[in-house]
Amino acid sequence: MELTRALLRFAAGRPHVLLLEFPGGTAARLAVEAELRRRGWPAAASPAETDVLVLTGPVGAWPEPLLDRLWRQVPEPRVLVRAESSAAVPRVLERARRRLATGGEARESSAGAGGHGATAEGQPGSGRDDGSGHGDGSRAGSGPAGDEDARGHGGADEQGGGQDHGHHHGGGHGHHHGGGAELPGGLAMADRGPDRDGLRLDQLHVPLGPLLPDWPPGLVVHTTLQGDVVQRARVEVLRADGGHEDFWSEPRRRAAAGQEVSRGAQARRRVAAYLDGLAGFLRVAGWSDPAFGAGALRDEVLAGARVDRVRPRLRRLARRLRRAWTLRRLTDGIGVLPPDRAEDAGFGGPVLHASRRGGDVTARWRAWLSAVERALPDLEDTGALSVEEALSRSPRSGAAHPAPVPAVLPELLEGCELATARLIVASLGPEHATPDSRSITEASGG
Amino acid sequence: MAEAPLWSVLVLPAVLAVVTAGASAFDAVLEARAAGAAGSRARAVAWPLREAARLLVGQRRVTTAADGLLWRVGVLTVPLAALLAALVLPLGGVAVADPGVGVVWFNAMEILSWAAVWLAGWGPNSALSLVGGYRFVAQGLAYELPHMFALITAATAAGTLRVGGIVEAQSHLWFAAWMPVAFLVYLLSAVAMAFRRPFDAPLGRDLAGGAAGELSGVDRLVLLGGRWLLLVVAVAMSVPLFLGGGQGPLLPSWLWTLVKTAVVLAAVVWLSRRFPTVRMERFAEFAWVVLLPLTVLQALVVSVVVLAW
Repeated sequence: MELTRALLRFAAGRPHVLLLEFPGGTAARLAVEAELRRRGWPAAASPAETDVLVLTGPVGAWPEPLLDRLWRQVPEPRVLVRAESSAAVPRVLERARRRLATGGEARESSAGAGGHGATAEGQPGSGRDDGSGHGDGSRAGSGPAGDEDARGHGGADEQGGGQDHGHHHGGGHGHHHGGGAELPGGLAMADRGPDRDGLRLDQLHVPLGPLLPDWPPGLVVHTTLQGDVVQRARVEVLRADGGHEDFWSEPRRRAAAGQEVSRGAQARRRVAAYLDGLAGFLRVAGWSDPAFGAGALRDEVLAGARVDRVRPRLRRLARRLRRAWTLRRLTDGIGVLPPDRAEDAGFGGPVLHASRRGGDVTARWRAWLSAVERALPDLEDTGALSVEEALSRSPRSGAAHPAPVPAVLPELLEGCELATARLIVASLGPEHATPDSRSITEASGG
Repeated sequence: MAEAPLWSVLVLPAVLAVVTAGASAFDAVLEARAAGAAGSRARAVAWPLREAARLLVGQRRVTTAADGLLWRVGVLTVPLAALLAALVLPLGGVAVADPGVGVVWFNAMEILSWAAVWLAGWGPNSALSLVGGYRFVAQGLAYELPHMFALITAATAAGTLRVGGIVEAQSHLWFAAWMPVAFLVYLLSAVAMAFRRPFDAPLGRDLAGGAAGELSGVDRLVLLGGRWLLLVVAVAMSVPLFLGGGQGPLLPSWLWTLVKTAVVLAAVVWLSRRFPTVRMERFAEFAWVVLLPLTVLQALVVSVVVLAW
């Protein structure tokens, strides 16, 4: 059909991109984000919205079944690409666009183990049942036991042994039932439990992550939801198979290993990390314009822009955020992390700073802004970073607590609405201990 | 104001479609500017069209144990509610219908969006979609009462529920001039009703798309297009209610209506990018403690003025 072909070509001019980062894929993700901004392509929020699925970083073995399931939820036409290195990103995206313009691929097996042949070869417009009711999830049984396997959107978790996901997963948020009955889809019913207001409400077990945009790579929070309130949260960090090196602490690591690294290079990474956290936080907060601004600033800093070029733009961004009383009002008083708790958990840097100034989400994004402003003069410091400095500046050099965020998340998230929970996770931003903490402790130990 | 001949039934959707396309193109240009998209600011005008084409050729999805009927009903209701509400919208001196209870009709139709978003969230049997539905119900509880008081204030001042009558009552002074609170609250609640940003929490990115999170293809087009339509209709209604409808010098009244609508719409689209997504757990308090008393007070002042003169 000529018309369909023309429409496909026209539509492919602006595909929606679902960007998923895996531990170790930070540099490529930044390149993809910059390219999306340049092209004006929007970031998809869900598989249903996706045209192009972009994976950055080494995809280990654990995500394969999840990716396969997620891929089956992406409507056709669709394209899956991997962005291995930042240099290849523009080429990879351009190729994706061209493939999409000619109908995308009917099916790409690289997304998963390839064992699931049940996908309908969809003609556009034909409905299909992908058999995976994703996004729902509730199951008889309460408590954060390891065997529940409810599917959350954008990421379900099968770590607990639910390999046979044809039967094992829960689904259905049934509302009119007692336990044990079955919904038409063969899905188990939700159980009820007392909620915070003393009502008995359905409990849904919904994992957040690991395949969720604007979410720390590798993090899974298994939540028990009643309505949209997180009653219980259990945190899991999925590790990459091989070791990988954290992008943000790379200069420090190199210096610690005895290589020559300038203080400026180290400051640039640090500033960029905070700006990256800020951009992600603003996206979760639903404020795309300053999120674009923070992302653009981050990329400039990393690309080596001069301080006098960066400063006025940073000032504009900071002024805009600090004056935004709506943002303050939306983030005040949520996710309060007291100073002693922050110290115990092993936080350093802006999070620890913020904990002394109220400790809520507002304090944290403000602390990022201040940290960026404070570090700005150092960007052009050409002095060499000494080994001692590299070790002492490591926020987690205490080494007793390799992963502060997973340690504090359950207590911060329980009792929150989902929206608040997402903001809290985002507000801990670059402090997220990806498994890299191991390499830092090794470096500092050796 | 005259009720229009039958052809206006055909003209109305066409005019609405053009205005909606214009508004979404303007939003796309603002987006391109914010992103610093290279050289694509002019090209951004075509983004909404590309988006529509993308969704037309996209595959529709079905989820396990979905409530297909209610789901589709919910999705379809969004543009339908907007169109039905638009029936009383006067373009210059002409409206498809100008019943004696025009304001009530308008309000009743736009409230259909409550059911629409809730059903769209309920239908796919997905936890995050359902939460999106919850969120819109909470949002309705927050914005609807101030919204109704704003409508009632305009009707009180004109002494009629007929939209044509309300326009005629503004021949000397626009209502926006002497009831600014009602006007501003009306615009605010129009955006909230259309669940457009910053009131887009029901479809929030933090919920992976919320009530629209499972929609693809033409279903998604209907819901998101309907959402734009709802915004356009609700904002366009502020022109007859508060800005004197088609009244103005020189230009024909239908053109005045379009000009005023375009200006208000542009302002609303531009402003709505200046705020982060508003969560109802925080906004509801503001709506009930600040907005509601303000609109009641406004209605009281207007009533006293009407009685005294």
